[in-house]
Amino acid sequence: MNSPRRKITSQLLSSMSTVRGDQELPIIIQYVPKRRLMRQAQLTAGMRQSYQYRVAPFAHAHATLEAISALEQDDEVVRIYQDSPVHALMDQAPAHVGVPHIWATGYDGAGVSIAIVDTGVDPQHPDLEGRIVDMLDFTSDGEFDNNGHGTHCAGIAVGTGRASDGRYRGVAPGATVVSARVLDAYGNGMMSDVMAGIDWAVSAGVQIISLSLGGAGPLAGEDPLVELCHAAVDLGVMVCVAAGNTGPGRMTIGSPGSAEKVLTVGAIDRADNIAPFSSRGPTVDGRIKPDVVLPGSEIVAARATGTALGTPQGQWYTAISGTSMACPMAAGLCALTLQAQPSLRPSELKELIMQSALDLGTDANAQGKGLADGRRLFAALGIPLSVEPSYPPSGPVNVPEPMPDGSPEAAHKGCMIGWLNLLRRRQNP
Amino acid sequence: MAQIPAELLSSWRDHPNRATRIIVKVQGDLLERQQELLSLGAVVVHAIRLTNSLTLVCDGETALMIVQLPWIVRLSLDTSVSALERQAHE
Repeated sequence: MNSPRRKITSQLLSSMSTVRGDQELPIIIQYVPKRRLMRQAQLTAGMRQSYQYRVAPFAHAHATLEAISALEQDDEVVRIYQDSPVHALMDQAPAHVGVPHIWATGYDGAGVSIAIVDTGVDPQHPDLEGRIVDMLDFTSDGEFDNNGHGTHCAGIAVGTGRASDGRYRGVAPGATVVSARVLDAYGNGMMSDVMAGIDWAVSAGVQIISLSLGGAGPLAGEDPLVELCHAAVDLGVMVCVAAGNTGPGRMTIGSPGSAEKVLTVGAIDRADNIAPFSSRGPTVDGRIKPDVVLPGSEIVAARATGTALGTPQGQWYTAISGTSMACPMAAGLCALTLQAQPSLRPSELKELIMQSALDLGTDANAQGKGLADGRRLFAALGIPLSVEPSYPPSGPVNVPEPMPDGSPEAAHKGCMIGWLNLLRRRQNP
Repeated sequence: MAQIPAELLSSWRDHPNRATRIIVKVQGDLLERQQELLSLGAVVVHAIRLTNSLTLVCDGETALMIVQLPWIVRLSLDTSVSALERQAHE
């Protein structure tokens, strides 16, 4: 897949696929540095400019689909973003993949169970209260997460966001979690313990298994963990696996990410680029992997008590990067989908996710089919979604709080300033 | 007899008393095979019903006996795995 990279972000592309031709979308246009201030006559037909920034070559406008497409052909346009409410600044991941529209339609993963096979979970975290239905330890280190990785993954998948008034809500806050602790306090473990955890989770009746772990492993076809993942899929359990963090070199996907029947998930950064660390295919036997990508850069989610993994954001949250973070996001998307369509087999669900993904215009062995997208996924199912998204119940935040890097700029009142800083960060990661 | 990498066999022969941790896929009833392996001196760590497999800890000498058993379908060395978050130093 060698199509040129689109100037339109994946989030905007997703929105464009859900509106009629004459409807307008709020956009922010990034121009080349030499672009002079626009005269009214230069405005593209179908576009209403509302603000032109002076300190950087950006403009805010409302534009029709036709106008946005025309803008993409403009040589002086570098990138076209969708304008989004300020309260999504701190963690845009669910909004980035269309999840708030699914929430607004009434789906939150209720009735679906996800196994987090990891370092355990913190059952005392406010965001996981009422979400954990069973826990078992396979490491002799105890069920409680004293590393932080498993709790963070669980938060991404099913966290309610209670400790943040909903800001850091997970993808499927209505789903439940079964925790199999298979990794120790350092995040390490044995393949056989992982197998035992999966085996137990399947017997516990979960519909989805999230595996944010991996090893070099033997060849994919002779790997007992891969074989077990396939057995779980054959029994009707959807298995999501992180691709690995040893990119960007080719053939860096290990086990069980290389398993053919699982949904292997790579990571993108905040600029919709494939994260440099995200492992690439092909597999050792020549298959394209990963299958899709999802946000995996500086993801803010639940922080286990007494842990300091990642960059802590106060008592209850921490920001961590990795394909580990993209994987439970996929698991949450699967939970939302299975709530809407419980009869889907894993192979059907995987195919739907892949075929509805947004092509990011890069190598298939980096992105698979592209960025998984909740709105396009539900459209493929034939399920109409609410036009208006639903955001955390506390409502929008009028004054952006400091970015994870502590920049005071983001604390300035006004969403446009916050957006400009976000765009600057994207330009200068 | 299951196909075993030559270097693994060699390692067991060279170090018959050294502990090794292996995953074996077996034919037949899992519980019965578990009992037979226990009688050989292996410690069974996990019984994996989904793939009719057992995780064992034994010494090299015992492992060499196990590979001769006709109902061993496949044998793999148990390997390490890790959480896939990016480490701070990366």
